[in-house]
Amino acid sequence: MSPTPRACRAATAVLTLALLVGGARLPLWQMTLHAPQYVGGLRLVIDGRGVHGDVDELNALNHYIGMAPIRMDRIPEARLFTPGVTAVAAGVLVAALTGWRFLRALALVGLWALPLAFLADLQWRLYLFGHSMDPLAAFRLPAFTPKVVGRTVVMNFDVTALPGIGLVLMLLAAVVFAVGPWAARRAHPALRRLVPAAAVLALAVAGSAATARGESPPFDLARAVAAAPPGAVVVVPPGVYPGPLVLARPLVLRGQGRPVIDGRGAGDVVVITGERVTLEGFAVRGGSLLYSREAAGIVVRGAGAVVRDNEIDDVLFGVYLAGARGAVVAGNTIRTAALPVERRGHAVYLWHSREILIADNRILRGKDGIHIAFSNETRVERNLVTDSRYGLHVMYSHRNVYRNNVFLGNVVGAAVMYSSDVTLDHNVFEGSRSVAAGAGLIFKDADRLLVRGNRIARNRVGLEFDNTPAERGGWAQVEENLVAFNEVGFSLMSTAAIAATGNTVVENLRPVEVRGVLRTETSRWQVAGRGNYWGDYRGFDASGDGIGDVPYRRADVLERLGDRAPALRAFLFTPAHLALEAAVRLAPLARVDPVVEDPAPLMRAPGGAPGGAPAPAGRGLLVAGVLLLAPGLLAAARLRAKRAP
Amino acid sequence: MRTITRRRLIGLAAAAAAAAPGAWLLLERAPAQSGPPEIRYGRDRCDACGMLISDPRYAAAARRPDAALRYDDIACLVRGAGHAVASGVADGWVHDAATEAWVEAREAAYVRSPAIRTPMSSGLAAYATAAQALAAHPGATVFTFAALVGAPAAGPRG
Repeated sequence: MSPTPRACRAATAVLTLALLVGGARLPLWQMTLHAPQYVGGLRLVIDGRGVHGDVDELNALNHYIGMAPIRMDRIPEARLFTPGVTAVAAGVLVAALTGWRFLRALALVGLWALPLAFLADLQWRLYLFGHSMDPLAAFRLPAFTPKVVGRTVVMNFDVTALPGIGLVLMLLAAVVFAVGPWAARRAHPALRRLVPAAAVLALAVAGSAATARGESPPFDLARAVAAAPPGAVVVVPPGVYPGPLVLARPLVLRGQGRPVIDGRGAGDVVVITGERVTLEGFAVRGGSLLYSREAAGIVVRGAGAVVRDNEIDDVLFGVYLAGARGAVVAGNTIRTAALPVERRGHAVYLWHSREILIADNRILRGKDGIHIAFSNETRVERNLVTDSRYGLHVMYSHRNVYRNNVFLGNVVGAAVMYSSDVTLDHNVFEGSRSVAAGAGLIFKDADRLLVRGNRIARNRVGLEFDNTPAERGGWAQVEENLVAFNEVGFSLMSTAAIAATGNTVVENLRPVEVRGVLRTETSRWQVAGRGNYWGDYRGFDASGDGIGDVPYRRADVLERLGDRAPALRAFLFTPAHLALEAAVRLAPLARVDPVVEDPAPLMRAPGGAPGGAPAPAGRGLLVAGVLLLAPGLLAAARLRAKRAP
Repeated sequence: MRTITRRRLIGLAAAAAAAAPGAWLLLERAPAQSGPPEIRYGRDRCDACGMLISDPRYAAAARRPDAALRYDDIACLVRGAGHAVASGVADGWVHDAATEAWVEAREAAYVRSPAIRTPMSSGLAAYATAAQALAAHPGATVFTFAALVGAPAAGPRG
């Protein structure tokens, strides 16, 4: 017996509705962003209710390239989605009940239009995001269009976008509705019997998807912690738990689905006093914001603590290690409360602690991003710090290593003061452009200092040295760094005595400035006969050994005068200044001590950093010189011959 | 009487425009008013140690006849202008750590404790009166400004 058209229509309609409504509740589109500083990547998910996932982080990131923030209230057409789904579902239902062909056709158009319009609109929005960047942003990117489906690579970000299961189901609904009655009539009877089953199953899936996000089962966190034997692993289900939570015994506290611990403004939110406590996978928020209480999201006093993969938000201090030893703070996202800088606390704060590892954290706001005081033998690696006063602030802390971190858009990237045996290598210090105090790196009274392989770009001042090294026999070696696009590359107080070699110093408004009483002999611009690459070097290399044959020298008359009469600095970079400089260079009108003298400048930028054209070969240069000189000599000879009689 | 022609008017305007930067510089250099200078937190740097001044509780200031000085820590005030302020050559100000109101440096009461986290780790805090200092730090020794200058707070070097 062949099924009646009515039964076919009904079965098709039920299946279609289940797929449509279920799909509209599930993720419609997802985007994953991978970058070195994001462990596990960032995710963005769109479903019928809005945008979810790491929206805040992405917005913070986008802020630096001037992208508009992702906000639902700026995407008005998103509000049409739910009414659209409802209308089409109603159309499908009524068409199935009545059998009106016109309505069926209309519903079919709607079914196809919904997911396709969604994708088209999203692509249009992505295009707008990539093409309307604020020209005043810290970083300027060329316009680009993220693909709505597929992979887009921008800077060091690798973005993959895919339709979600919800969108696939919605498209499936459209297919089912289009071919359903026809297929039902022609299908094998055995298959036909499966149709109601499939419909029921789809309904169940849709129903569970709709109700999945429910309340968490009651779980008493404080009681579970109190009852756990030492060393136990306590898995905490999703939910919101009240702080403050004190962890006084060895314990692994693991959040599943990122449970929230909310301090509700009472003081510290989580306090770790016991040894070997692990806290991971939580959202910690809501500590006291009163500055005088100096409360923190997570306080660590015990030894061997691990604070990992937490999201710490809306607190005064983020993670505060007071007298802690051997702790690990890794993979956390920390953002202190949005207060003016003098009211904020540090995102990560070390005080009289030692042997600490701070790695892979994303610090999106703090007074200081990472503040280290009186804490030795500590490593800071692969962190990202933005929007803070000092990205890294080191006071009275020795034998520490700072490696592969990224400091973007802080007032000062890093300030290292009164500390010795400091290693800073392969970090990025960019966008510290504050007019009053912006600097990539500041050193004051630092000893046995190695600054190597860092990228220091687009700051007001690249590196500033004051009284460094501070002790007799101390040293400060600055090597293989890229110092580019800063207003001032190196700013040396006359008390500084650094040794610089193999650095690439290009496109700075002023490569080196010396402040205070000038003593050029204090800093050395070469080590073992190897100097630095200077973008504005005008020498040559006849011997072909890669080292320029004339020293790189910069003497700035006006700057020297400006030290005596600061008002003269108003003439910096004016034609008058340039004329004065040219005059002094051509004729020794006034003896001016150079602010920098590199006896062995490099002809090429080391390490493939941006440099100029390859230096011409020595012999070619000689020929060119003779050819240029010849007409001049000839002219001079003629002139003399004419005058002779 | 001379009439103002268009040419003269333009000339005058040009002269005024040319003179403006000079006048501005002169005015800028003119001795400023008295009282503690304004501190822009998170933007102004300490005149003794170069750090950004970011904690109003411990920020200090001094004014000499020729300059206004800003400090991030009371120890920096003592180091940078301590003798001048103590002897009356310069005026100095500190913040009451509890109320954050400016207090004359010579009249304030000071306590020192490692528990007080000041920007330069000097542990020095100021209060308007000795009674307030003792209320905040029971049992602490209260110093006068002259005593601080006599025994300056050396920054700890660990």
